[in-house]
Amino acid sequence: MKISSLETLVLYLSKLPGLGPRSARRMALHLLKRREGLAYPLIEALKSAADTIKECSLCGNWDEEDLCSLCRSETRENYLLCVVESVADLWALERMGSYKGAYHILGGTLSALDGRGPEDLKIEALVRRIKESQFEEIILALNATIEGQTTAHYLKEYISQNAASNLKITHLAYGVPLGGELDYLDDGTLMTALKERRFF
Amino acid sequence: MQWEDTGILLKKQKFGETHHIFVFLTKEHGKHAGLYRGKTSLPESGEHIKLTWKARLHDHLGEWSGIERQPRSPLIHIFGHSGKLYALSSALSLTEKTLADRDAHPALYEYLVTFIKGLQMEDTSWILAYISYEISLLREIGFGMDLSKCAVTGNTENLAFVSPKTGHAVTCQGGAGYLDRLLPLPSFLRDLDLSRTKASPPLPEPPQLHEAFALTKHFLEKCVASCNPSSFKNDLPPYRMLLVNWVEMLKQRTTDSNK
Repeated sequence: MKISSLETLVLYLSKLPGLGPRSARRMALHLLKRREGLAYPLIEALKSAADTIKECSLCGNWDEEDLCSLCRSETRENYLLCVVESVADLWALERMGSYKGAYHILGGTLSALDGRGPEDLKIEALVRRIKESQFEEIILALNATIEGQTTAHYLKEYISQNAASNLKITHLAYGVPLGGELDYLDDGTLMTALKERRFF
Repeated sequence: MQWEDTGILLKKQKFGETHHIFVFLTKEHGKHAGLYRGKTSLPESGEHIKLTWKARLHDHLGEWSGIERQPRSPLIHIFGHSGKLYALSSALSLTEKTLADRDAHPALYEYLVTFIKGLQMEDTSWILAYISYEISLLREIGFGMDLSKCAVTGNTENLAFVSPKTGHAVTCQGGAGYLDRLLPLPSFLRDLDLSRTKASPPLPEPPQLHEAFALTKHFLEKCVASCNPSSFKNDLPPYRMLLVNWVEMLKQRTTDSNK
C-alpha cells in the first residue's frame, strides 16, 4: 500500500525529539494550512542547513564555515580554552554570555560500557591544539557524573604528560546552585559545597 | 510479578527522550535490567539503592520503581580522586560485561558493596580491595585461581608462579623447565582476604601490585574477552588500563618522595 505524502511527513516529524505521532499530526496540519508563510520557508531553511552546516575543524562546533564563528572571532579571549562534552554543552555556556574564551568539543566521555575509549574522543586534536596555541588555562567543563569526572581526570593527566606539564587546568565548581535552599539540597552536593568553601 | 531488592547501578542507558534502562547488580536476582521512567534525581553508576522491579511476565524487561537512593552516597568522596574513579568504573564495567543476566551472585554482590564502601577510606587499601574484587569476579564466573597449593608437587610453601592455562599455583621446583611460560605470583595474593572482613594489610610494593594486575588481566582477557569478543572492543575496559597506569604513577610518586 502506497503511503501518502502526508503520512510520510507525519512519520518524519514524529521522529523529532519531543514529538510523538499526535504532535506530529498537529504540526503537519499546521504546516499545510500555512504553506506560504511557514512550510516553504521551513523547507528552504532545512535544505540550506543540511547542505551547508558542517563541523568546525578546530573546535568541533557546527557552522557554515570550516572554522566556526567562535574560532574566527578576534574578540574572544584566546588564552582560555574550555573543554566540553558536546555541542549542546557549548551552546549552554554561550547562552550564559560571560565566557569569552575558546572551546573544544570532545564528542563524549570515556565509557567502557559503550565501548568508547580515549581514541574515540578528540583528545589528540586537543593536545595538538594546546601545543600549537598559547593557552594559559584549560577549563574542563564536563558533567558532574562518574563518567564525566573520570574523563576529566584522564584529560588532566594526559594533557600534563603530553602537552604542557605546567599549564593551569581547572574544573567547574560543585556546590549550592543559585537560589538553592540548603534544606532541599542532597547530602552529596551539600558535603561538596562545604568541602569547597571559600573566603567571604 | 514484583519483587523488592537492593542493588548497585552498573549501567544506565538513555531510552527515548526521558526514560532510561538501568542495569543493577541486585543481591538476590543477579544482574538485572529494567526501564526507569523517572526524570529527576537519577542515580549514579555505583550507587547502592533499594528498588522494586515489576513486570507482567518474568521474561519481560520490566520496570524499576520505588528507587530509594542513599542519603549519603559514598561516591561523592571519590570525585576528586582519579585512581578511585578508574577503579570504580573498571569494576562496574567488568561486572556488567561478564555476568550472565538474572543469575544470582550474592557473594559477589557483597564484595562489590564492600569495595565501593572502601573507596571512602583515605588510605590506599582500596587498591587491594580492587584486586580482591577481580579475583572474586573471576571465581564467580568459573575461572577462579587455586593459589592454595602447587598443582605439580602439592606443596603449600614457596608458591611463586601461576599456570596460565589452569590458574593453579606452582612452586619453582614444580614449574622447572616452564618458568618462562608461567605467570609470576605476587606473595601477597595468597593471603589476600577476599571478603575484606579483616583489617587491611599494608600496601605491597608496586612491582608486586603490577604482577597482580598482570595476573588477573591474563585470565580476564583469556577467559572473558575471548569467550565473548563482542563484549569489549578489542581488549579489557579502558578504565582498567588507566587504573594500572595510575598505580604505576603511584610507584613513581613513592620513588620521588623517597629521594
